[in-house]
Amino acid sequence: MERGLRWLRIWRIYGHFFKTSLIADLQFRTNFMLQVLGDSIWYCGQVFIFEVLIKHTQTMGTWSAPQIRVFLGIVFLADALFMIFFHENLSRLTDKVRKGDLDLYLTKPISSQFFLSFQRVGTSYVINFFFGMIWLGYSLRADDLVLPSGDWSILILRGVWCGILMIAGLMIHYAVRFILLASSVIFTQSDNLQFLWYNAYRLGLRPHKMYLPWLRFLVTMVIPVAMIASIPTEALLDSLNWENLIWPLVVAGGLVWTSTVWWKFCLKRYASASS
Amino acid sequence: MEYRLNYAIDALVAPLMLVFIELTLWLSLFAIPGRERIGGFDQNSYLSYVLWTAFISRISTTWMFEHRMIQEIETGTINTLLTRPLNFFEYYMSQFLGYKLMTSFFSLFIPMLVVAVMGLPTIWGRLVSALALVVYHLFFVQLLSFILATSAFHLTRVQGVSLVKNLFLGIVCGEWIPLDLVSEPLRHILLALPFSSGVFLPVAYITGRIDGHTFAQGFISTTVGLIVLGVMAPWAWKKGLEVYDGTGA
Repeated sequence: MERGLRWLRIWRIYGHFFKTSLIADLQFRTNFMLQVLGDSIWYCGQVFIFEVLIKHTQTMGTWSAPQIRVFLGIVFLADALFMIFFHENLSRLTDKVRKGDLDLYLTKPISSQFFLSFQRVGTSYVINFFFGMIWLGYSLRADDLVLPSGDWSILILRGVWCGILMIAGLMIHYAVRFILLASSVIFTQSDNLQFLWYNAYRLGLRPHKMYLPWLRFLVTMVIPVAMIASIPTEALLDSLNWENLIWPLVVAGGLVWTSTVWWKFCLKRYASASS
Repeated sequence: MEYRLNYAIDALVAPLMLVFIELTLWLSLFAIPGRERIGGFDQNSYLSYVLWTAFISRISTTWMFEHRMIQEIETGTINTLLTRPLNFFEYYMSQFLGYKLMTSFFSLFIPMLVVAVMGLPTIWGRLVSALALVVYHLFFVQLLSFILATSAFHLTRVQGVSLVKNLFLGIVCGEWIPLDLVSEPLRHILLALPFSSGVFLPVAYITGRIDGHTFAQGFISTTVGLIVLGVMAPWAWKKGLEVYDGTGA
């Protein structure tokens, strides 16, 4: 009962976060549109690169051009979800540590990690999420797309599992970034670590099946960026593989737990810059 | 050189990581049996392109100084420059060129060493003229950044505009993908624009993907770009100062 009330409280707080974020975003309408435009240009750039490559290679790994387009749709959705829920918050974390604004979050009667991670909602990126849905819908309806055999119930099950794996990928992305950013409490500067993660993330923006075996192992098991988009796409397009269905959930749970433990460890070493 | 770690990351680690990521792409694409050439070029040609692009693009990008200019205007610290016998544009241009000179010296050493050791396709005799185009192009990009920074006089948040511009440049300059893989007529348009002089034209010239005639067009397009932006810049600056009230300081 108490746990249920706690979850209800968290949802209500998140509702307030969403409302205040939307009001704040709509006050700066130009910036709102620029954020949508910036992400849209990034999406167009990804489509441009892949279409140019596909024109010359026809396949990437074992995936054909129509399948690559579905993969891109999953990439866009995964990116939009991260931008909506976490990007605005995580990008300001190191500044808060440096300027001493973190104290405000630590004194509130709510998990500081939750407060820091969810306070701002990138409402402008909701539009990009719909762009991603449109692209995914368009690529799934392509005449030359070959889907795995099975009736509608199997296809729906695949779609649901793809969604679950996308959420797992989102959690993995969040957890790794939060762990790196939390280290700024100890090291003050963690921009370099962020840079390293961003480059690792770029490896996940390509189908993992096209990589050489050692790199495929790296991006699946060691730096699990393949779980952000490649593994969910695989659940949708390829034959079902139980390892790829369960392992991402285990990794996501493990990394989120690690982020919480790491955050508590860092806070024990926090010396406020504001006092 | 006070921030040695930041400099090392910008001049060395960043390009090396970029090389690694792009190498994984092209090595994977050529790993398919029977695939010997893509767009008329073999694997070594793409490896050479990727290696040079990673370091040349670090020289020709300007986002760090662009952000500083924008921040100075947004926060009002530009007042300290306005009250001195210093020109804002010249001040940042000199900083920018000085930084890029130092970056170039260290950045180019690595690709030169690697292509020499691995024997990747590189026409050494073209290196000086390619770098000359890159340096010439720097004036164009800095002028573009200056004009964009002046929008901070009118808008409250300009970082979004900067991001959009840098994303766009990354695509059209050939950093993300060699422009000669793009179909006509888009390829023709992209090569005619001054943006390709920052990465694609110098790198393709060094690696032998384009001839001297196409390369020379880069100087012409960059000159046209400089003339156009050279007319816009003073106008944008004047318009910005008219609405600036310096309350941020």
